[in-house]
Amino acid sequence: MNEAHDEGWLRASLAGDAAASKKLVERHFPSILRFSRRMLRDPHEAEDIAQETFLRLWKNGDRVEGGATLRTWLFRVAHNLAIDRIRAKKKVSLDEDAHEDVPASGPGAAAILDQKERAERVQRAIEALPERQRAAIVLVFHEGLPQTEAASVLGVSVDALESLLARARRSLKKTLTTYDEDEASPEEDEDRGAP
Amino acid sequence: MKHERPAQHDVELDALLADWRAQGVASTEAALPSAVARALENVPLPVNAAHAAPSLPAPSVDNVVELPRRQRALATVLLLAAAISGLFVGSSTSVLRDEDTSSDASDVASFDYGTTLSWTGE
Repeated sequence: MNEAHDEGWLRASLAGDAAASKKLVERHFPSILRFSRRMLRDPHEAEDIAQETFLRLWKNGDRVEGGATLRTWLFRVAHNLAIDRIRAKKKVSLDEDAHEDVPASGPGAAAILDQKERAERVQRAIEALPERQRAAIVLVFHEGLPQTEAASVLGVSVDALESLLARARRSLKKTLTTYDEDEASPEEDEDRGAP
Repeated sequence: MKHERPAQHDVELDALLADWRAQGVASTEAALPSAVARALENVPLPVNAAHAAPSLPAPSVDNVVELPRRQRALATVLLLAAAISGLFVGSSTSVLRDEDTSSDASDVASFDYGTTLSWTGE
């Protein structure tokens, strides 16, 4: 399975081959849905985004240009849709800030929580990150995209992506571990709300 | 103030992120079958779907409904009546149109387009 398959299936799909379209759904829909679910808490909204991403593929698939792989294109569309939703929700309700109220953990606290609870705490801490840091973490640590591809999805250089990841990790460490607050950098809000 | 080596923090954070990822993958797995099914419903139809899809049978002599003789006679009468009345209406309309045209022509001829916009006809 590689990008050559994608290219052939996409061409066939755009020519009306339903079997090729099905292959593309089976190959890429799961990761787009996972990404959307990690960007947005609401699973229904996340699925809406994944479905909308593929509707756009059927409609605008001929615009997937050389240089960007199909997977990059799909993640980029899903990312933009997710950011739109996040911003719309922020406008409607300021209750989103409640997610930032992650309780500080004491030494060894993580060890006594089961995996699900720990994952929930991490998810809440990630939702409290600025949008681009959140997307960078989800793309690289959750979906395992190479940094070059994640940078392409976000429309930034690899250096900028590394910076986003470093700040996100610092922020997460501060929230989730027993990291000394004196060593935490205050710069994590620098790109909050950046386009 | 508790100080720990950054490497230990990285290990702990990496472990937390690994748990978070595993949890995300597992919860999405459960939702996948129905979501994929819905996505497949949205897959565009093949270009040749029109040929493949069931359609109405092409009209043929066998498919033409035979009207009873009495109804056929009635239909013929009605069609004739419609045609005759259409002719009549058409001719009367054309007469009216001719009259209107001539009347318009005379009106235009007798209308003063000067600055006063006054009627100067008889």
